[in-house]
Amino acid sequence: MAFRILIVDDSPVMRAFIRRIMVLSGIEATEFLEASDGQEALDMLQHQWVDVVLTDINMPGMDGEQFVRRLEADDLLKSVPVVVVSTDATEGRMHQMLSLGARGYVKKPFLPETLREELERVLGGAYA
Amino acid sequence: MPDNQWEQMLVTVAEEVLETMFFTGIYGPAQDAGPEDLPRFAAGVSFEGAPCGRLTLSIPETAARTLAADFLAAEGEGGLTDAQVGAVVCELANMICGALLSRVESGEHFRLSSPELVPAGAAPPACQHHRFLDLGEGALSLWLRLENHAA
Amino acid sequence: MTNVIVGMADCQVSGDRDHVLITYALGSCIAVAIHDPVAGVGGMLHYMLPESQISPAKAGENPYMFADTGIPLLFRRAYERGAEKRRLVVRVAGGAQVMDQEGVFNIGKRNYLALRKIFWKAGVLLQGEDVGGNLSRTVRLEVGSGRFWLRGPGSLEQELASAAPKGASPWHSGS
Repeated sequence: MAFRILIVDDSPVMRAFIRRIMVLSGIEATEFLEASDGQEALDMLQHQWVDVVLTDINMPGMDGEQFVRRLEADDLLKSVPVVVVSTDATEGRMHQMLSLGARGYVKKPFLPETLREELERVLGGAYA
Repeated sequence: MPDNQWEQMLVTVAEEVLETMFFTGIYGPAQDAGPEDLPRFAAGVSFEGAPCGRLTLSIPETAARTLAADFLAAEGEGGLTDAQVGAVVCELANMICGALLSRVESGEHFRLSSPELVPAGAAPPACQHHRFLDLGEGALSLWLRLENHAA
Repeated sequence: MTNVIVGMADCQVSGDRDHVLITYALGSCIAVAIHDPVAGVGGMLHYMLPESQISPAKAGENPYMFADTGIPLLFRRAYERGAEKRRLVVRVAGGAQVMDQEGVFNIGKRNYLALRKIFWKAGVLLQGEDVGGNLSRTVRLEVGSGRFWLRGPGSLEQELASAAPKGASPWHSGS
């Protein structure tokens, strides 16, 4: 099964790091889409479907919190699973993002296997 | 929070970030930032919340290129552009700052600015806390400025 | 089942389903165990130091002493027996901080970080790890089943099931 993955982070090198982990995890990805903030990601999602979104929180423009709120407010987009990947490791932020509808949360810094496992859990092992 | 606790936390989170994402350890404290005429990369991140302030880091170019090659899984440092190395140094600053603030648990969400490359030179002004860490290939310098913060 | 001993600075690779690769007394050293369940090939490396540049002559005599020379050889020997990289289950154990070591950056941790760097660049993710701490480990890999067992001094043997390492570097887990 092939997946389309959207990575939302203002750091191009972090997007590359995450992309590499996805490839090494054996996920058969049709395509990787990348956005540098929530608004750019929303614009992309108006035109194409993705199977999962990985998003940072602290980004210029629309941050991850606003982005997830906007996804959840959309009847179609709210079904897209979201995994937060953020330096914010506070309990309060984690609880907030999961309450807003994120299905997973990975704190930076993280081992590659940690991200792989969180994605496996969120996607229900449907890949590879 | 006592001054030495901020500095100890700075060391701990820097070590955690370097080990986890860059597979690099710290050999111990360094006496200072190293020779002033060494080419360097430096990055700064501002933050808001409780507390507000700015983290600045500086690293010799050779060490920065090694870290970037490790992070990007590049075979050699020579193939990386300055832009790539700079972006990795910025992300290093971002992760250290976020990990540091995550330990404060102030009850208020913190907000980080986008990290930016800054001129590498003298220590940034008005920083109450700093640490120099020996990476083997040079010293990683960390400066922390806290604003409106009661110790 | 027949035990095949992997000594210190040693590597064994087998396609015999009856073999069990076993290495003892992993202090700061690290064991890398790999297994291809389709090809039925298993391999284990027990290395002592992170980088061969400190002694190229020693690395020439025995590449299994160092992570950067031993790990690629382990994989190559497994490929020669029909293993494929994409199928390999990779687990590691060891890297303890032995009591007489001084300094902030101990050999066990350096061995682990060297391994992590090599695997990241080579595009290998782990399916399990048991590293750090202060205690020596003994580990064994069953070539037939791919099961990986480990034991500390005075403790019962436990299987290291395939489970991803968690969170951040093991030296900072829970922090």
